[in-house]
Order: sequence, then C-alpha cells, then structure tokens
Amino acid sequence: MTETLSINGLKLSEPLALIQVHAPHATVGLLSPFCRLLAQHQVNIAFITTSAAVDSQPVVCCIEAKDQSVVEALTEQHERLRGYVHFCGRVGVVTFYPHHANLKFMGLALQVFSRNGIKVHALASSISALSFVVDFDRLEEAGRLLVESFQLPENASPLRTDFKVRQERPPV
Amino acid sequence: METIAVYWESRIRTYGFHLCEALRMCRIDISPERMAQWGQALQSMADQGPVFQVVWAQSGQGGTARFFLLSDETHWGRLTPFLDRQLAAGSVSVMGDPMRVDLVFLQGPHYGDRYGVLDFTLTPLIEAQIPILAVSCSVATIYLVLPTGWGGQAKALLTDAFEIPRHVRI
Repeated sequence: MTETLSINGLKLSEPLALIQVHAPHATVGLLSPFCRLLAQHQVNIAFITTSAAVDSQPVVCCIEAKDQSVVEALTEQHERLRGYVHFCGRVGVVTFYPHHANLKFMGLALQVFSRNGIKVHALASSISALSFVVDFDRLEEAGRLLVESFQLPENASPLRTDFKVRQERPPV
Repeated sequence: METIAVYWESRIRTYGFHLCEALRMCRIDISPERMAQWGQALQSMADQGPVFQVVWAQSGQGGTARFFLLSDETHWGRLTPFLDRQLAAGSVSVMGDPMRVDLVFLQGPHYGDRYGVLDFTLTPLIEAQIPILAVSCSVATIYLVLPTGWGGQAKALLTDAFEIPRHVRI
C-alpha cells in the first residue's frame, strides 16, 4: 500500500520540438556552440539536459515548435553542428510542484506513465518542480493521470501557460 | 488571454545562487520494461527516502532511461542500500562508482522563456576552461555539475557575470 502524495499544482507546456545533439565522444563540446546559436537567433530553451559524466550523453533540448524550421536551417549551415542535430518530433512538458526533494514523487509519476504506455523522453528537477518530456499527443493524458494519482487542492486542474516573457533591446 | 511582458536586462539578474560541494553523482540505467517496477520501488522507500539535490534522466539507446542523481554524503549513504537491493533484483544497472562533484545552480525569473541565459552562463566557464560534467535546466533553474574542487572558481566567475541582488544568500 503506497501513501497518498500531495502536490500543489501542475502545468502543461505548449507544443515543443524535441532536439537531440549528439556526436560520439564529443557531445559536450557541442553544447556551447548550440546554445550560442540559439541565443544569437533569440530562440528560448524550454528544457535542456546533457552529461559528459561516465560517458557522453546527447544534449536533449526542447524549443518552441514554431522555432524548429529556423533552427533546422541554422544547424545545417553551422560548421560544427551540421549532421549532429536531430529533430525528434513534437513533445510537451508536464511539470508538477513541489517535489520536496523526495524520490517518491518521481517514482509515482514514472510508474503511472509507464503503466499507461506514456514514454518519458526526459525529465529534470528544478528547485521545487519536476518536469517530464512526453509526446505532445499524450500531454493532456499525462496531466490527467497525474491529477488522478496525486492529491491536489480541490478543483485544481492542469494549467496552461498564459504568460509569456519576451526580451527586447530598448530602442537606442 | 495571453499576457506578454517585454523587458531587457543588460546584465542578467538571478534570484538564487547556490554552490554545493563534494556531492555524489551516480548514473542509474533502467530498461523500459522495468520502469514501472523502478517507480514502485522508489515509492516503497521508508519515510521520505534520501533527499536528492537534483535528478534528471534522458532516454538512451533501446529506450533505456539514464538517470543522473546527485545527493550529499549523508543521503548517499541512505541511497546505497536501496540501490544495492535494486541491483540484486536486476531492476537497475548502476554505472560505475559515484563521482564526487560540485553543483552550482541559479534560478529565475523566467529563464526558460528568455533566450540566451544558458549561453550567458556557459560562456565565462568555457573561456576559463572550467570542465563541465553535466547541465540540466528546466522551469527557471540552471544546474551545472563540475568535478569536485571546481565549484569555487565557477562561483566566482558567475557571481561576476550575473547581477545578484544583495538579499540573495550565496
């Protein structure tokens, strides 16, 4: 018998493009040029993980779906990134909070997703939240499953992003 | 209705900046058919189980999920017997001995919505040839994992680069 775990809320992202950057034995060296390219072209990074510990892991990155074609073209033209950047379909991020630095929260979400055939492409903790990258066509379902599995405040439902931040240089 | 806030910072401000030194980092591989079992095992841990500093995972070859977990020495001591039991049951593969690492992390606001923040973070570290073992960013938090002993230098470089309000404890 497992205990009921309480969370305060959860959020669903807009459609995102899943990107993997991978060069055998050299992926970490591609992280900086990849981030520089996105910054130069004002592309936001919604989610990114990579590791060079133990062995080289791909950079797994999510950007807004609307930016995919631009980034595809840019990376194909880029001397160091060409051939190493792969676009892996539409995904979304479901995020719940707080996780209390408690592995049980992650365990419950993984169990629920696995039993319902929802593939988790990646996950990451932030200071208080846990985010899961899933196929976009299963995002709503993933949110609903978490609502059913965790204890939420009364009438809580998954939130959609309704606030955007945009950086613009002030006019000179 | 969508609300859009437009602003510009010539020097990026952070509202939280932390350095944790001498943590343990391990990689745990889980095959897709064992994922539900792994999830259940995590839930079955006594009390809260070990506290983690950061966790991330990504899908690898054949759908195997690679988890990276950082915790301090005390909680690593509580995690080890649990992982040993999972290893004995064939539920997981633990890759190598846990590494000793330093963790630098900073947050918000709206880092995921603002282009260039990660590039801004990496640039001084790469210029100073600080080795970066791992990066994980979600929501508004940026985590940087460094070999142990490098955290102090990274902290000095990043506290110079970012604007950090006085009330933020470092």
